[in-house]
Amino acid sequence: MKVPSTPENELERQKALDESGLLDQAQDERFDRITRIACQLFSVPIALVSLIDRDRQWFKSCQGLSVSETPRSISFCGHTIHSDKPLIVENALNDERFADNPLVLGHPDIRFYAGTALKTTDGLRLGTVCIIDQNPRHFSDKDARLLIDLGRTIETIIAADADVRTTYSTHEKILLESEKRARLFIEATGVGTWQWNVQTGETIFNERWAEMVGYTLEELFPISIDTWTRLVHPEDIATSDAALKRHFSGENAFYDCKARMLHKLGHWVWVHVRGQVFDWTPEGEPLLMYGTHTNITSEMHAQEALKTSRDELNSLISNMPGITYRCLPDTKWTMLYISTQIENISGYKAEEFIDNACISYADLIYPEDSKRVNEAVHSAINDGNRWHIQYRILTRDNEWCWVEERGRAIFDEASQRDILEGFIIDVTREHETEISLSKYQNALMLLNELALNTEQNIDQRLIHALHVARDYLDMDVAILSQIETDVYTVKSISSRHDIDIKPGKQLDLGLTWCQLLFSGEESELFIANIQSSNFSKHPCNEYFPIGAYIGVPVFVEGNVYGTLNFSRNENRNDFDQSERLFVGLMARWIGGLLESTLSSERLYKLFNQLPGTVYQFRRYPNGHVTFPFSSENILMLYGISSAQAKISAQPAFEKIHPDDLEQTSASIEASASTMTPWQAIYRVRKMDGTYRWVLGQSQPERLSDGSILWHGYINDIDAQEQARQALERNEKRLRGLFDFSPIGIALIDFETGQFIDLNAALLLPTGYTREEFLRLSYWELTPKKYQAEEEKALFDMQQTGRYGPFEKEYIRKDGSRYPIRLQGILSTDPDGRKVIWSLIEDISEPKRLEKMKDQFIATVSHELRTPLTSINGSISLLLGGVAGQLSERGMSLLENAARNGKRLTNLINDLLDIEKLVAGKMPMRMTVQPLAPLLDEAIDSVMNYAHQGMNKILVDHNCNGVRVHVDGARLIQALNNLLSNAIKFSPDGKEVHVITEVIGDDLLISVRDHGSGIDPEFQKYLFKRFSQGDSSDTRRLPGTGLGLAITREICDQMGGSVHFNNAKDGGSIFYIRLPVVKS
Amino acid sequence: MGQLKRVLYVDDDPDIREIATLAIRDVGGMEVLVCDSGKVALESIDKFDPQLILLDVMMPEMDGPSTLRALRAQKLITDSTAVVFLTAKIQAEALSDYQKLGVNDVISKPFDPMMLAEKLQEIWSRLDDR
Repeated sequence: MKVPSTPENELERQKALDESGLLDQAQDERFDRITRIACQLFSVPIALVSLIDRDRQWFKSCQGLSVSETPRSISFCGHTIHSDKPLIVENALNDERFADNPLVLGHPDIRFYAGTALKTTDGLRLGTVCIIDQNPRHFSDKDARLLIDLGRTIETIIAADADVRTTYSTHEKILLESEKRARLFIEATGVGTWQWNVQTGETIFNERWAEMVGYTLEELFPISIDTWTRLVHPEDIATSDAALKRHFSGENAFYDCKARMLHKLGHWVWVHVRGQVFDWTPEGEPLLMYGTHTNITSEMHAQEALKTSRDELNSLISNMPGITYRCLPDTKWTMLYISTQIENISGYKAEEFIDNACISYADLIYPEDSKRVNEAVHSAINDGNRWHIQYRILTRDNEWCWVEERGRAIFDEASQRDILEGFIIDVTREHETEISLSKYQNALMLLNELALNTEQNIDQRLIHALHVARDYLDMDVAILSQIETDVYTVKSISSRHDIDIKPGKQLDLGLTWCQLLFSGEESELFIANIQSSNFSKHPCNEYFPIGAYIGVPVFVEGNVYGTLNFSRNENRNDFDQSERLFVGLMARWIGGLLESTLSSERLYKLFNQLPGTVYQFRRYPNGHVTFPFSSENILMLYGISSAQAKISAQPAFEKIHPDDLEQTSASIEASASTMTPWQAIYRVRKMDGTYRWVLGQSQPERLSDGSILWHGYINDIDAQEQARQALERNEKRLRGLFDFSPIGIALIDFETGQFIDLNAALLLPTGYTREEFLRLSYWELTPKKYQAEEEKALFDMQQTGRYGPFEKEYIRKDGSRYPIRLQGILSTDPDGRKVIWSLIEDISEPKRLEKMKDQFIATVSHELRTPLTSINGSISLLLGGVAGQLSERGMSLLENAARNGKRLTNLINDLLDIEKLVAGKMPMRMTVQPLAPLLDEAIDSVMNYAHQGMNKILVDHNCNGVRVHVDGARLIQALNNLLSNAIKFSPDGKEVHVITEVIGDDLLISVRDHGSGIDPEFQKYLFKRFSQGDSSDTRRLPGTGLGLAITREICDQMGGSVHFNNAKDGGSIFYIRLPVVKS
Repeated sequence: MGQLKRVLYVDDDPDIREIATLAIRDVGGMEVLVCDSGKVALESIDKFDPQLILLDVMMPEMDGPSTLRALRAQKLITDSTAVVFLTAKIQAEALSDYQKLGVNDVISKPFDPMMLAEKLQEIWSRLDDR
């Protein structure tokens, strides 16, 4: 046995195999489909996709074997991967590389193997697709090409997988990157983030979160929601839970609360908790939450301190960045006192506010906020509560500044009136952080929402995404464009107003704002106010005058696909970081979406190259059926387009042959109820009205909505099916012939001698039942005396492939025997088994008839001769004058009677002779004797006849000393027939020539006449029984028509022959050829 | 060469019997004892002392061979008596059977009555020569 050697590029090859991800993966239907096709295509029991891995071959797909791998050292495929050419082993026993291979000597008993290498796009041979049979077989070039084609198909799948893998990893990279960016940003803000699976409790915190409470993430491990509940202050759990409940119920858009957490060092840390559910279970339960924890300990501590004591508060005031105030509850919030820190926030001095000296505090409040502030304060005054609000004030520098105010109404004893007092702190920084954070969260959640929406098709998803983004960015128009050379094509668009730009519209790139992205100056454009920007003089502004613009490139597979751009008629405020991040991520997301569509299109193209139809078939709970996916070939199959099929599968069912519909539907039902693979063979009506057979196979999958989705493949097997049915019909016909044949037929295994099949005609005369017959041993059926014949038959069969016919006997069940005639041929059945077809004819009846005939002939012979004897005898005596002298007329009449009596006698003699000759019952008494006396006697016997026509017989003797081995009487009879004929057909007075000559070892005796010769038409019947040249009623010459037939039989039986020629100058030549006996 | 004078002829067929009798007696000028069965022949032969017996082979009750055996058994003929069978059966196996019986010749039916006596004489002469 030859162990396969290691290819030169093994390291590279193994690396490619490892990276392919093909190894040790679960069963893959796509490969199985191809191996199943291979089994059918080549009628083999075993087909494999084998991958050659380090020290084993592992079967990616395997039909007909139960193992999943075998050692590489004994593999056939290990040899195959050395070449691009297929390895074909027609009979492994004759191949020294494999003859003693354990896979050949033992299970699975490989005899035939054909395999072709499977290559990566880089030409590395990872493994093979191969077919195996347990019988040797021939594999034509055409077969080899088919196998290579199968290999190419698998290579395409492997290559497509590699593409998809690359695409996935690109996606993953992008996602990781964007997540990393977002995370970096969030980490920079000093915010802890969390993600919580509400249903399972699974929780993810970031490092910053752990830092807030003085731990590293590692120290907190294992992390779950309990990590949080363990650390949170028991008093705050209720608050937190209440806030959570309000968010879950939809009352609050966010989960928002403040709580204390236990720091590693033992103190409490205040955190601001904020989060939102972004995924819900199908039942409407919250599933995933995402949120942040911000450390607000300092603020909280401050508040607490305030509460602790007013004195303490007062003492703190000077050290705090806050402002204390006292004012009147009027519309102007007329200040009685305000601490000097107000200058730090507003830019106005404290005294400028007192009694509204220069400015009222109310005027500083941001108009949108003032109503809310008023309401909150008045509501608190009425209820006797404190107020706690956040609002914006306008600083002297015209900037907005967020403040947080806490205050209450008190009755001032001194002035006997209500006054308001409180504390204002600058929370701009916190607020901005919070807003920015919330904006980021919103942006990320929006993107998340867009990405998670997989219900719609890509066009709908794009339009939806553009719409959502346009609203989020507060722009008027959102466009996804494709850019090829200098042409800008609108692929998808969402517009706030009705505008004259539709998908498919093409523009000159040079006239669009996008052009800026490709001129090398800008990689992205965020222009909030074009008029005040550098771009106000740009030519684009002439064509498309707008207020604000965003443009970013979209990349697909590393190349620029086009742009994602937004425009706004009016200016807007500057784009912030979250918006920029949003647009960037969205462009990436669109690129990924387009990429995955491209690769699924590629897969679709691959499916379309397959000969059949790849499809998904979905049955909804209400019974509606569709083909959500189908390759283009479905048009050929069911006459409907993929698009039509997507809407309803009903038209396909209408194409199924009425006789097959019920069965096909039932098989789908069965597959659905048992969730087992579906397989059916049925006929489908084509455009031209004809039906073709197809084979459908698919794998069902239950979907969450109760639908069942089948993934499968349907191919046209009309030719195979027609052939199979023709074979079946043919088989049926032959079976009929077999069953109803009047002759016994048996099929016998050549190796074992066992009967495989036999028909009724064989059984009937034996008296056995079929079961009894099949149990018989050979010599129970055949008498031992025929052993010699049996051995000869067997010998003949081995030598020539056939035996017989010969006659023997069979023993009946009752012990009696009957004669049979046997013959048979050796044949090979479709399984390659050697079988003997034997015809066994019961010849009892023919034998009986033969006996009857013999008896009949004997009787006829006796019963005809007896009266003839009297008739001929009487005539002869009368002619001889025994009864006295007769008149001349009387004599003439008697002579007539005598002639015909003689004819009748000859006829009877000839009839008996030919019967005996043909039946081989005329014994030849062969002796070696001189020819001359026999010839003389024959001539003598016809002399009288010759004299009647005045014909002379001229003898050209050349036979002195010539001796022959013959039955003398029979040779004379044969010559007599030729001579009589010659005289009969010779015109009166013409000669008949008899010539003898020796040529080589042969003696030729020719009899030649000068008659009219033999009509060529008649020549072929010349030596047949009862043939006469002139068979009309007005037959001129007498004769039985048996003479030449008898002559031929006699000559044949004496080892000679008789022949005929027309003579050149008219007349016929008959000659007898006999072997000469050498002295 | 002696003359054949006495012939015993046995045949069950009256028509053939008539013809053969005419042929032997009238054409051949021989004395002939004609019997219609073997039984009659055994009874009638008495002192006829035939030189040649002509026996039809197929006869009811006693056929030719039986008659021959009976005649021999009862010493009604001698070894020198010529025996000729007259038969419509001229199959080969029959001929060899007849030779075993010590039959000197067989004449097949139909025979030419004008030549019959001459043929019998020839057979007898051939025997007589020995």
